Order: sequence, then C-alpha cells, then structure tokens
Amino acid sequence: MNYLYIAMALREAGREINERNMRKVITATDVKVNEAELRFFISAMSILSMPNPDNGGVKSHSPIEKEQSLQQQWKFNESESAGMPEDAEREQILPLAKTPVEEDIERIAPAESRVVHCVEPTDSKDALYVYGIADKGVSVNLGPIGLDESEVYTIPYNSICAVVHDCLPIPYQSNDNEVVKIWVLTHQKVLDVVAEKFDAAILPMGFDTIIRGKEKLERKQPVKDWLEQNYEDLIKKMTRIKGRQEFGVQVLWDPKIIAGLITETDDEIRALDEEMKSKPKGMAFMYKQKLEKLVKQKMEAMANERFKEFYASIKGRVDDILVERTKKPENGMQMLMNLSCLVEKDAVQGLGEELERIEGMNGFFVRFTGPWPPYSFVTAAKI
Amino acid sequence: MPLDINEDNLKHGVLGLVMALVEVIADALKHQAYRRMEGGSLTDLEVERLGLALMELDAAIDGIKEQQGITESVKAVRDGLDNIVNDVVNKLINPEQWEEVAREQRN
Repeated sequence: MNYLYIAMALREAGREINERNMRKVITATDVKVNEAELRFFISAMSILSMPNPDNGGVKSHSPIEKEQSLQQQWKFNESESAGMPEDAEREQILPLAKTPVEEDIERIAPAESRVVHCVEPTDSKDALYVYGIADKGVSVNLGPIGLDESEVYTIPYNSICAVVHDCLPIPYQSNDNEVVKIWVLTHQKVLDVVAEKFDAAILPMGFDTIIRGKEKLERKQPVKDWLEQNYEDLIKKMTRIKGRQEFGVQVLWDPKIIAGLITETDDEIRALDEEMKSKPKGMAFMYKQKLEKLVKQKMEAMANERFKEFYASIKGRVDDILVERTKKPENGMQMLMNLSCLVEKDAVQGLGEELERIEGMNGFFVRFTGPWPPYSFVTAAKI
Repeated sequence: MPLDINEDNLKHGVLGLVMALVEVIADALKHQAYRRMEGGSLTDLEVERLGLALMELDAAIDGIKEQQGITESVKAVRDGLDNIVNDVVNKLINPEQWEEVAREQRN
C-alpha cells in the first residue's frame, strides 16, 4: 500500500501524518488521490496509537498530555473532511479529542462485544463511571458497592443526581466472561440499591459508561455540565419511565409439536399424506419431500400470523414495546419473537396473564424476564 | 483454534467433513429432482426410479455415519456451514450491521 510508505516518509521527515500532508505528497508524485482509500487509511492510522520514535517501546505509559497530542497527531484533518459521511465516524476514531462533554459518553454494553478506546492506561482516576441518573438532587456516599468495590457516590444537580464512582479513563474490559458477568451484575445491583434507598426513578446507563472531561478540570465538572445541559431531556425521560419497569418477553415454539399439529389439522397436507401412501416406494420418497416443504411453508405462515397476533395483544398491555432481534434458540426450539416491554407496575399482572394464555397454547413457550431498569428505553444514544 | 490431532479425531474430522459434503451434494440432488418432478418433465416411472435412487443414497449415508460413529461430527460441520450462510444472509438483509462490524474491527 503506497499510502503506508508516504506515511512512513512523513514520519521520517518529522511531519504530521494527516490528510493534508498525505495529499500534498500524493499530488506531488503526480498520482491521483484515491479519496476513499486515503480516508480509510487515515482512519486506520488514527487508531494505531503508535508512539513517536523518540519515546521508546510500544507499551510506554505516557502521561495523558502526551497521549492527547499523539491522538491529535493522527487526527483527520477537519478542514478537508467535508466528504466524511458521518461525524460519528470521526468521533469513534478520536475518543479523546471530542469537544462537547456529552459526547464523552461511550456506551459499550454489552462489554464483550464492543471495545472503545485504544487508550494507554494512566494512574490517575480522573474519570467517572456512571451507573445512572436518579431523580433526587442529593449528594450521598453509598460506600464500596461499585465495580471492584469502588466507592459509589452521587453528584447532584438541581433535582437529579448522577450515580458514579471514580475510575481510570479506560473502559472496564476483560476476556474472562465470569469477570464481566460479575461487573454487569454489580452495575445492576448498584442501581437496585439506589432505587430502593431513594425510592427514586432511575435512568440506567449501559455498562461501561464513562465520562471524562477534555481538560484536567475538576473531576466532577463534566458530569455536572452534562446533567445541566441535558437537564430537561433527562427529566422528560425520567417522567416517561417513572413507575415503569422493563420486561423481556420471548416467545418460542417447539417446531416438532407445531409441525405435528399442522400435519393433523391442515386439509391440504392430509390430502397429500393420503396420496403419498398410495404411491410406490420411490415416488413416495419424492412426495415426502413435497410434504416437508409444504409443512415448512405452513409453519412460516403460522409464525407470521402468531407474531402479529401476539404483538398486538402484548402491545395493548404495555406502555412501549421494542422488537429485538431473535436469538438463536437452543435445544431444538425456535424463537418467534423477542420483545422488550416498558410496563407500568400495576399493569404487569395483565401482561403476565396474556403471557400465560400464550404459554397455554400447545407447542408454545414463553420466557418472561424482569423487572429490569428500563435500559432498552433510555440508552445513552437516545439521550 | 488450536488443532488437536490424534488418529481418532483425525478420522472423525476428515470423514465427518467428507460425509458432510456428500450430504450437501445429496441435498442438492434432491432439490433438483424435486424441481423436475414439479416441473412435470419426468414420467411417473422416472420419478419412481429417481426417488428410489435418492432413498438408497440417504440410507447409505446414514449407514456409513452410524458405522463410523461420525454422526456428531457430520452434524457439527453442517451446523458450522449453516451458521456461515446465516451470517452472510443476515448481513445482506441488514446492511446497517456493516457499520457495527466495521466499528468493532476498528476498535
């Protein structure tokens, strides 16, 4: 890749590797700039937070200032970036160079699937891990109940407060699923404790939501600013979820039972079945395939129909509903639908009754989980 | 994924892979036979002969799998193939996932 050589040459020459300098060199060599390739290259370079030649090994624990200047060095040149499709893309690349405080929020739950920055570790706990926002404007120390027994406390602003602990400006991540599980459970538990203690409505944040200011301000300031800037929006969201809980509803069916039911009841299939019996062996084999295809078709139609039916009846019993992607089912079951429902506390029973009705249908099974804090309805992306 | 090879699992692996491929081909054959039958280009006698042949093929495959004790490894290969195809199809019908994947890779 020629761009790599150009970048190396720039580095040798002690120049900054950015789009403009790259462009200069490329045009100087009388080659037409391949826009897409160049952008991709710059993005790729920016995430390789390589140290300068003069500061030694890759694993050096450089102080934050240096790290920031390093990030800046790889920065995609803003003035010439008009063609970039999404601002978001640039932000992903430069987590530390973002300006507005609210954009320092990174939601990376579930932790195992996404990892945020390529930040080298520093020793100062100058960032804040945010569990959630509660609708009480109090400043309380909750003791060492946080992740890895961190001291959890609240930062009030007006009538709301953020539930936080001091942390390093790096996300919690581990390859050990058990460790991650404990973290996520602890995250959840902290929110439960807060909800109980304050009798408050909680706007939960996703696991690994970490806020960090751009400069070395007082540590709490970015959170305060963020609360202030988003105050009305947060209040609005809080009102929406107050007194409501999230439940997960998954409807599954056992394809064997359903196929059996269809075979017994469907006239078309029964007719084909009869016809098959009267045929010689070889032809019957071919008919069997025809039969299987037909059953599959009917099952798909039925799944569709049931989905609509269940969706309508569940929707009538909850405040809000989100259709999640169905997961790959285990032990031969198939998942028909996977929903997240926002339910008022008093309405839970109604939903439960409807789900019992579904569970009572032959071949159908319901998985009902909760109550959860309404994560799915207040993700940081929506705030 | 580290490879752990000894005589036994080599047999399972290679034979399993071969039988999985044979099964895939048999499925393709069945599919073609079915289409021709439905298309009406075959006489009853031809359908009968085709059906018998495919049936014997199925029986032979099942027999070998059982004899060699490779039913599980064949299933594993086929499930693996299914998952790959599922992933591809899933990506094709949900282009918005591309962005997600790209982001993960960048990180």
